[in-house]
Amino acid sequence: MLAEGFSQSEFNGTNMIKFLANKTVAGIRYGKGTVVSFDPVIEGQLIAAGDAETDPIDKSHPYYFFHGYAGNQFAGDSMFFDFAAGNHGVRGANLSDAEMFATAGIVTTKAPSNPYDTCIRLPNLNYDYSIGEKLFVWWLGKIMPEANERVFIGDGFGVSTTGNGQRGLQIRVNQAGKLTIAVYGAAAKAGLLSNSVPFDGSMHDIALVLDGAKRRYGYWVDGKMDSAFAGVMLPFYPSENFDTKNSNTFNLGSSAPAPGAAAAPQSGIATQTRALVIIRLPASYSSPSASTVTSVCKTLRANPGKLLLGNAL
Amino acid sequence: MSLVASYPFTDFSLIQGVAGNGKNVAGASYPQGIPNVLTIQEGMLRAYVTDSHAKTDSGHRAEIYLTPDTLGENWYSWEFMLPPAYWADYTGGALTCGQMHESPDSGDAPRQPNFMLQIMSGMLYVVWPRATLPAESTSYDRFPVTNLEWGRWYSVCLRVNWQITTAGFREVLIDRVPVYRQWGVPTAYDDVVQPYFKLGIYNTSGGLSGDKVAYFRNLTRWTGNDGYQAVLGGAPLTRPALSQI
Repeated sequence: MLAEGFSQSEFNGTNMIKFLANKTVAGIRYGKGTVVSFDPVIEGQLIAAGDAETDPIDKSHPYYFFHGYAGNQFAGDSMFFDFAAGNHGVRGANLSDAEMFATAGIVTTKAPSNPYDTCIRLPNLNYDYSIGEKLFVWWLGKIMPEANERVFIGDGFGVSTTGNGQRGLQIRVNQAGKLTIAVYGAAAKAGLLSNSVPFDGSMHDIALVLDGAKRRYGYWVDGKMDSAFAGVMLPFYPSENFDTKNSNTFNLGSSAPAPGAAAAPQSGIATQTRALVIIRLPASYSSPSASTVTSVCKTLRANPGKLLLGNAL
Repeated sequence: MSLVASYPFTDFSLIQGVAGNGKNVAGASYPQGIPNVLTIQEGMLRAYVTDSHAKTDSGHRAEIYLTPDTLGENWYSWEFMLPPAYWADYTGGALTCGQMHESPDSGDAPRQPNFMLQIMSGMLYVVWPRATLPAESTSYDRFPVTNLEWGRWYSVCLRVNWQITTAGFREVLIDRVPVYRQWGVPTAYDDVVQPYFKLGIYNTSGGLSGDKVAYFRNLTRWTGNDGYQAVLGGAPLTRPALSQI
């Protein structure tokens, strides 16, 4: 007979499960919250029945898209390594290895002016706001603002419907050094400007949460929620259903796909990045609270080279 | 994006063709498959290859195949399981358990298929042409992606944008975990007809395989981009963050 053993947990190696309710298994009673290890088939059945969940305590976050830390990298690495999910960032055609690692402990992208394609390109994120996915982006680095607003992280550059090819997300550096975003679905909408000024040429961290389930968003700067949000995540045009799916690379230093000869602001800006963290939570995953995100930002700033655990967000 | 087809494997009538034991015939003509080679068992496709079978198109195989893709974004999702009785002791050459086979124009030289999923030495491999496409060559690169457990169901998702320019991309997910992702790369040969999907067992190495059985189920085929949630049922998962041997 066929053995039915389909289980994600097995792929990730040895696992434990946590009971979500009091449960008796093989005559032994286990209290809610008990963390135990069974045969993978038994674990799979308990998870499928809703009696238990894979215990995330000793695991890195299961929905990482990227966690890169330039402090562990050197000239010659060629790529911005992702040590969470393997989604390494590759250099644009006109960004050399020497330019990328010109400053120790930092990965650098150049301002795009012909030649373009001077950013770092991660694989496609395909973040889906409309269906309720949540996106957490945390970045630590230095950017000097330009005379006009520029995109420094993103994958969207328009509202065209052709093959979902243009839509997506932009994280922007305002000319006054403030943080803002733009989201491209059938409509293009911009977020608030931060009150803080994280882009002044010195080291700062910023974070963004875009919550497609609750249709809200928030910014964090240097471990605190930006005061423009007054302590709570705010609605992001809740009447708009932003379809942000696309087939583009997710970029650091630009939001335009290769060859990147796009007009400003999506063409990009020179960036110096110490660390970048991107987590995409599925629609079924509960939305993180503002206080949880604040805690995560502080944790990451203290040690940006350390993976977040599964229970962090 | 649209769901092009969902194959519940009740019969082969919607399958373009079935091939094995010397036969290569239309699924509509052989809705019950090829007895003891390509059959349906409890909603699953059962593929069986053995060395005494007649060769089909130059090799031992038991495969279904679908209509060709067109240039652009295509997704295939399916599940497979390799019963331990047939696989646990296997030490032979690579066996293919799913592929996107190129459709050569008349006069084209032999070429490496656009994509293959192979089993060898207890591991699952993703195999791509080594040449920068659309250059034609039979060379290939074989990337190990996971150790296999016999008797366990694995889900596979292949997402590829068939292009002969750097607008192409390709990624493979096993159990929702991306194991290979490459953007900005040509993925297609410059052919009139684009590659077509094949699922089953094909003895790539040409050596002795012994008796080999594989099961497949829940095959779906999509074009465009409806996102991971639609095809995978959720966002991709991260791969293990600790080194494993």
